Amino acid sequence: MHPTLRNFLLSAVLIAIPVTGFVAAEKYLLPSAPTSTAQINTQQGLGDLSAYQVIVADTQKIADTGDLKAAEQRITDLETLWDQNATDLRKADAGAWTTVDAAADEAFSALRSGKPEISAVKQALANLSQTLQAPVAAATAQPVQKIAGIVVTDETGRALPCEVLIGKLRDTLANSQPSASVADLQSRALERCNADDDAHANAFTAQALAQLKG
Amino acid sequence: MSNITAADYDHPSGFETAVNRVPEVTPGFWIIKLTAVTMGETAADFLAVNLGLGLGTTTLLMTAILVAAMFWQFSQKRYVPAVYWTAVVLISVVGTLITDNMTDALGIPLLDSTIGFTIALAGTFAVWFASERTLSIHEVFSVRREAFYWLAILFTFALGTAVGDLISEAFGVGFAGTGVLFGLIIASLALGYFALGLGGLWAFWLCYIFTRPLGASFGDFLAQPADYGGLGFGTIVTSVAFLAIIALTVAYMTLRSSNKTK
Repeated sequence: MHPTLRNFLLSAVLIAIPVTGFVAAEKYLLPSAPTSTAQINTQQGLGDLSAYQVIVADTQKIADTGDLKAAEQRITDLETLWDQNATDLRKADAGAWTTVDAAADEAFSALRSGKPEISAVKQALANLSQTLQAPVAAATAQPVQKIAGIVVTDETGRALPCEVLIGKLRDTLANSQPSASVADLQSRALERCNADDDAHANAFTAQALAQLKG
Repeated sequence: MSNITAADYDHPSGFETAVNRVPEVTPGFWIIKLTAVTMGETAADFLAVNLGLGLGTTTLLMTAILVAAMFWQFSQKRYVPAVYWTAVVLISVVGTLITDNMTDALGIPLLDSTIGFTIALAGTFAVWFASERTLSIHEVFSVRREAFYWLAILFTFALGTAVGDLISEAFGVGFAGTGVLFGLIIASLALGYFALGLGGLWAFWLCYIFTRPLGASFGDFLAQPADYGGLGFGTIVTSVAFLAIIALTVAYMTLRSSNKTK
């Protein structure tokens, strides 16, 4: 065999073997291993959310009986717990936190409106339950995503380059001294951006921008 | 592309006094190459993101510095460790920036840039061989050969960045998983070289490509906080440690080569 051809084929085989092994190990040997980025992030994202899911399931049961006042009382437990852990959860995964927080707010307001609408309550609770099950997937479901009202992806759902949003934040801050929490968010965003982690970087920057807008 | 033969290692008769302008490939070579990759990446990130220069300005600035470093390297006409490795760190930065620009600023998909850089690299080797009748990295005696050598290195860095980003996007396994995969590929190529008779040139250039994503993953693993699966040393500690490793290894190489010439 011609040496060039031999080297080419040998290299191809030598590269293909570890790649195949790696893919196979990913797929078959680690069944519990995440099969998609969304699932990885769910696990790494907000951690165990079962306590919240239990409360939502309770509230759904109570709402089914028609006693929306009792349902409102039960979901207040969720609000208390959610607010208690807000700092840690937001730290863990800002994007997912924002998505769940929005879904929870909808459920609260559905139950607390002057005349709660049973169908609206059920819809909001079902949505919240679904969001809690896969917060990151929910956060990435829509093509163009917003965090705290700031667009963080392009039309295909791909995260915008983190440098773009950080530049925007820098411009906004140009003439003012950032508050401690904005400065903290900015440094987190920079750190994530350096790690080529656009999604998390954008989440931090968006929150900082939202705080600045007040 | 040529297979490396025993003849490639012997200096052809006309070149007996010629000095190789690039280093021989030793374990120390790979250690500095790997650390230089990470240093290059962190430096680029620091300029583009922390200092807020932006991708475009950073690329222009680093390219200008690289051109200066290249003049310095070419003017040596022999292998001087400090000069050579400065050039490698800078070419690592610029190679990475080229890919980042293509992906982020021009929106070219990673698969396209991977294929494009593969063609560019293969083309460089083809012209190199057509012009010099050898691709040997042991006989870089002339300006022209050195130019081919550095062009090939620039493309390996760009290609390595594209491949690394492509893999981590495709698998979504994070930097630890990506690091393991590229470590396995390099181990496999090393086995091929030492046990199965894979040509030295093939092994060298393929490992040169794959040490780029390996070094970047390893750096991320050290620098990233524990929440994201790293060891949490931070970019500054990691960069300084890597710079120290490079400086020590280069100093050792400089001392050893000056002893040899005495």
